[in-house]
Amino acid sequence: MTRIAYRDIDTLSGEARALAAERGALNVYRALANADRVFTGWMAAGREHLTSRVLPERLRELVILRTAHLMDSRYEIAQHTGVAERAGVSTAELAALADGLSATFDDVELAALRLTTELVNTGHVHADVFDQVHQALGTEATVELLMVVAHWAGLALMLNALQVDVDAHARISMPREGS
Amino acid sequence: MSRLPLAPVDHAPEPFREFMARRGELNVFRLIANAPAVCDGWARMTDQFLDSPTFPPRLRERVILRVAELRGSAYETAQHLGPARQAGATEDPDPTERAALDLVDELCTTHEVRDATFDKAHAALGTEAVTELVLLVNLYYGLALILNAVDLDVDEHARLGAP
Repeated sequence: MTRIAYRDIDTLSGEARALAAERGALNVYRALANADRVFTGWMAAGREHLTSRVLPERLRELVILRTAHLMDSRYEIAQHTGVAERAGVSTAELAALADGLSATFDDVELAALRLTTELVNTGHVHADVFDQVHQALGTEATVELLMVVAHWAGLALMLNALQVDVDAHARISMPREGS
Repeated sequence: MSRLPLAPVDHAPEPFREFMARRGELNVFRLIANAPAVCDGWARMTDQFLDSPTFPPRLRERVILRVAELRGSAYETAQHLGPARQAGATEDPDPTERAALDLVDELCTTHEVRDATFDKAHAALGTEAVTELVLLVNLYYGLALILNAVDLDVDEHARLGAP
């Protein structure tokens, strides 16, 4: 049971309401919308991650789910499993993200997941692990990948701190670029 | 030595250049400017936190410094020590600040917060501010991950423009 009251989407200001509604009016948005002064900026940042095409969607979702497992976020796992499946992540791969990493990931995915694991678990990354990702993805995508880890690791903290309930039925609706 | 190149200031997309003109041409911003598809949303988020009147600068800077310390971010510490000192955040915490810091400590070290710790912070701050506190921790906890991964050099002279 959440530790703070969920906001009613209809009582939010115009932009906050539009951003929350676009993504399915989930409990996480209704909880964080209590912080009126910073909610839309956080939503805008997340929206850009979900609409950017710099990282392949499958890679982004692998990194989000790996982060979610390492941060013990049942909420993120519940909301992103369907997104990952639609991006081509198999049931066996979903299981592998929970405990160690399977052989079906390609080399780039494995490098990204190793970086994610080390960074979330220790707060740092060895130079060779970092360089492997940088060489495979280039600078722009590496920065985005780090920002994705940061965004969903931070979100996991918030979900845990506020004890946001997993939505009974609602699942995230993905924003579309430019809309 | 930074593991990634820093984007030249005049190569950044226009809204982000304007952000840097206000907040400073810091290494961290030039790092984020390498990702033009996501840097404007990030700048908007960061602006809202720095401009929000919810917390007095003394409480905000105290929280940021604590997260930086717990996450071992020399960069965040270097950039926020000045604003923290200026705001009086290096003096002994008052009871509200203590309640906020206890939440920060638990959340950053265990990824959870006990009921008693949360309730105390909630009672001291109210619902809006305790939610914003959790969002603030999220921002600097995540940023510390990015900075540590890149091993970003502390700016020689440039310092953050924060109220």
